[in-house]
Amino acid sequence: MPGPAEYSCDKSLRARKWQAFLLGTETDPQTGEFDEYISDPAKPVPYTAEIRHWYNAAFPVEDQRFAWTRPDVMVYESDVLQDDMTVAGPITASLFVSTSGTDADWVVKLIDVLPETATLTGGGGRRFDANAAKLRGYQMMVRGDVIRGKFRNSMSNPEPFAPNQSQRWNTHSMIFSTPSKRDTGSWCKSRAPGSR
Amino acid sequence: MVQIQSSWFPMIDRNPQTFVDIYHAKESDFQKATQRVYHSPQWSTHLVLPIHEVIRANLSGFKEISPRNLTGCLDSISVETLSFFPTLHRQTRTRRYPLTRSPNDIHGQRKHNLCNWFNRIYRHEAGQRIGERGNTVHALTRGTSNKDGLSHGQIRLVTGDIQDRNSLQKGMEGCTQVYHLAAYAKNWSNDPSVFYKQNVEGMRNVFAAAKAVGVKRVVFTSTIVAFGPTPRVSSATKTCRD
Repeated sequence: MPGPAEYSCDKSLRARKWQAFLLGTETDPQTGEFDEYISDPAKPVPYTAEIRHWYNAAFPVEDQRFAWTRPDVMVYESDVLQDDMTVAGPITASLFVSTSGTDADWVVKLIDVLPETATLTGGGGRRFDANAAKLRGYQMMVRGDVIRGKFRNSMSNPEPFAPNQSQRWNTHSMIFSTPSKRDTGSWCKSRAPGSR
Repeated sequence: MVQIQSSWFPMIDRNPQTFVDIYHAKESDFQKATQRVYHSPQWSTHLVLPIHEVIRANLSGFKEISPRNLTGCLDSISVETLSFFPTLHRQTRTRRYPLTRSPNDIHGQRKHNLCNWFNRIYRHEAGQRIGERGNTVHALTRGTSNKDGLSHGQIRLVTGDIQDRNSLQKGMEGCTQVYHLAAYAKNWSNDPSVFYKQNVEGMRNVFAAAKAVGVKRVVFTSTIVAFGPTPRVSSATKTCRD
C-alpha cells in the first residue's frame, strides 16, 4: 500500500482574496447618505423568534426573516451571486455610524438568502412540501457578531459616543462560525441560485 | 444580505444607550436613541470577506470520510477502539472491555475522552490478543491529562502533544492505523490562534507523522459537531455489533 501522499493546506489558504462589500456606493436621493432607525431598549430585537423556556442553541440557523421585518433592523442586499462563494476566516465590518445617545450596541449579521429555487434534498416527491417552501428566501445567518460601542477603541477603557457625530471603526472579527450542517468547521458557502 | 441592529436580546443584554456602568444602570438610564448607518462615498460602511477560491484543503491521497463511508472504515476496527468514538459509544459492549463506561455515563465519557485529549488512538497489530481481537492501542496523552479509564492491558499510554511532531512519530511507531480525533472543540477562546494551532497545525502534524512512520490508514474526524449526534441505530454501530 502506498504511503500517504503529499498534503498541503497552505495552497488553499493562500488562494484567499479579500473582497469588500459596500452597503451602498452611491448616494440615494431618497434616503440620503445614511439610514436611520430608532433603537428602543424597551423593545429590543430578539436573537430568536421562538418562545422557549431556555436558550435556543439553534438560533444561528434560524430564518432571520423575523428580524428583517422590524423597523429597527437595517437591511442591505447585494446583487444575486452568480457563482458559489466560500468564505473562511475572519470577517471584518467597517462601520460608519452615529447615535443620538452616548453608548450603543451594534450587531452586524451576514446572511445568505436562499434562492427561490431552494429545495430540500430528498423531499420525497410530494406535490407541496411545507418545509421546502419555507426554504425559499430563507435567510440563513452566515455569521453575526456584536460590538458594544463604548469598547470600540479599547476593551479596558470604555469611551462614550459624542451624540450625533459619525464614528468609524472596524469591528472585531466576527467569530460565529457557520452552522456545521453546511460544511464543517468555519467554512461557509454562499450558494448561487439554482445550485441547490 | 447584511442586517444591522442595536440589540440582540437576551443573548446580549440591553444597552441603556447612555454611557453608564450597565450592571448598575437605573431604569431611567435606558433611553431611546436614533442610530445612523452611513453609506455615502466618503463614509461607506462595508464588510470585508475572505473569499476562498479553493474550497477544500488539498489532501490528495487521503480519502475523505463522511459518516456514510465511515462504516466501511470501521469494519476492521476492534470494539475497544470504537469505544473511543463518543457518538458510537452507546452500542458498544460494556462488560468485557473495562475501557467503556456504563452507557449512562456517556457525558462523562465524552468529557474525559474528547476534551482531555484521549482521542488520538494509535493502534497496531501487535500479535497480542484480548479475547478474539488482539489490537494494541497507543493512546496519546499529554503529561497533565486525566488518564481515567485508560488502564488496560492493551492500551499503551504515550506522552506527547499534537503540536509536537516528534512526540507523535514516537507514539506512532509500529502503528498501522491512526485515529485523529483531537480538537480544540470549544466555542471561544481568549486567544483565537489556539483554534488554528490545535485544529489545523495539529492535524498537519498528525498527517506528517503518519506519513513519516508509514502508517497505512488515518481516520480524521474533526469534531463531534462535524458529524452531529448519531441516531440510536446507525449503520456504523451495527457494524461494530454484528
